Amino acid sequence: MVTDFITWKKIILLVIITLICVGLAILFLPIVLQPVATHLPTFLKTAVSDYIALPYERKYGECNNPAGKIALDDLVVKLANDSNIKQQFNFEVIDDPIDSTAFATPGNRILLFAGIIEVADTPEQLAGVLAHEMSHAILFHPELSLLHDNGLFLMLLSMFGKDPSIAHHLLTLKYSRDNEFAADANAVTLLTNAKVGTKGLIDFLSKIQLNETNAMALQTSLRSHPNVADRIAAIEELSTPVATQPILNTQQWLAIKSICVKPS
Amino acid sequence: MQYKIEYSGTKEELFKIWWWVFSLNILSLGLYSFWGKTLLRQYLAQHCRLNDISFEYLGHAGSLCRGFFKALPIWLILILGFKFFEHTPYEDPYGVLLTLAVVYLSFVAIFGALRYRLTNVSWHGVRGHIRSSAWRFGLLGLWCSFVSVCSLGLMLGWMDHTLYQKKFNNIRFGKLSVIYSGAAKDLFKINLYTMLLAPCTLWLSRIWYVAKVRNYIYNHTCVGDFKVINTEDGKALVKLYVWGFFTTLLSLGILYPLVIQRKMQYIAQHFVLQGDLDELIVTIDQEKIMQSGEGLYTVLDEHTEIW
Repeated sequence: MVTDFITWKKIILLVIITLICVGLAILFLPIVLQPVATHLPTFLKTAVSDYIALPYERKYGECNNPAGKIALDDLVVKLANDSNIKQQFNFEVIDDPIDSTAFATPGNRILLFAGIIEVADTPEQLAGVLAHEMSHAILFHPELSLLHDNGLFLMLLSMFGKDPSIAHHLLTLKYSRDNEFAADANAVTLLTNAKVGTKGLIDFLSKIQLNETNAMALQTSLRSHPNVADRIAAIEELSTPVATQPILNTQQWLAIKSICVKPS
Repeated sequence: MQYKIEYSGTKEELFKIWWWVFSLNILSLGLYSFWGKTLLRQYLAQHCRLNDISFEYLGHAGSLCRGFFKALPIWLILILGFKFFEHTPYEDPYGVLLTLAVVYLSFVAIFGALRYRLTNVSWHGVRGHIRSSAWRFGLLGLWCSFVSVCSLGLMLGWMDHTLYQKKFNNIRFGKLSVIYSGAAKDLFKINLYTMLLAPCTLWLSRIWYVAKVRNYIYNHTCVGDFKVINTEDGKALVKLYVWGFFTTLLSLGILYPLVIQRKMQYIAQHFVLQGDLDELIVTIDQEKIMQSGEGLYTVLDEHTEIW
């Protein structure tokens, strides 16, 4: 018979070896990918970044009010310079007032949706959001996620031969949540060095938290971002008292607030 | 004289094969799947008997593997294309073309895989073969899909009839030709009724339709003077599908060998051959064994039932 060579003893041994190998692969994948992520070629980063950003740019357009752009650049440069960050960041504001999110793509490109500027009440709150997204770029999270998520997906696809979307999502949850905590921790450093403090970031997160109703509890547990309350607690724990200074003047803040207004 | 297919595979052996293949698939990042598939097919063929003679699976894992890697570039082009038109799949003419390409290639894949399997299964030295081109079958499939979509599904019966006709009337076992003599109009009513009932039966009526279509098609099929008798009925197939779905889902796939076992028992139970077997045995010919043909089917991850 064709199955004579398969015995239960061999199967049990094989299953144990498989479980160990899968565990090691999931555990060590991020560590192995770190050096690759930091040396990704620019053309690849640009291509992926364009692939992510262009649909939004085409659909909503970009906010390009010159005064607002200058003020936003000033804010980013101050946050970067005070922490001696050499990377150049490319911020784009997408003209979508409904969406109040922001994210970083490979190649230090960061997309801010107009909604987030509307929701932010103070320059410090916006600085908190920017510092968080800059931290993702500084820590190479978009590049790492690109490699980790696609690598894991291909690995699961080749193992099981079927669309592994659900398993893939569940396995990447912890990884993406860890990245959020790491970006928050780095943002605390940027904000402290820039003498902005973490109050703005905490206030902004608290505003988001108010919008998270109980009905969203299950959804929250399956989201790539961690619970907002846990993030606030972690930021508070890392924060040190700092003599704060205004990061923007009123004129600059008003210019950012009207960044999506087309110049007459 | 009537002959039933007898299936003698056991659950225990299937579980052994499944765990063995599943573990080695993971360890080899999927590369072992071709060997695993071949092992399972060898086992199933070996345990199916007709007139006390076992079937034999002649396929090789190497040819499955080669076929897969040959078809892989097509899959990559399609995936990249769909990623590119992800935001405008039906607004962009290239996006529409890409969708049509997938439909076309799915039919090409089904035909190619059927040919591969027919030539690689042998009973008493008799093997099947299918003439005609897979690419031409793809065009027919594309045309049938277009008509079915335009008729809001009313022509699905005609589509099934046309595609089975094209496949079956090109199949030969030894020197005997398969002849399908059904008519499309006979499938119209069952298609209409099961479509109307679909929303209130959670689409289970469509499984009923599949059983009825197979029942009609096989019962209108002859292999030379040999008659195929199919005793499938909707209720049995619905039971098999629903049971298989929940068993796989609730056990996270661990109990999948039970599904294979039930499916094989179902096939054995519902297919009967009527005629003179000696006539079939003396018609052995030397058709070429296909060395490839399933690659596209595998990369497109088709689930269409071929049998």
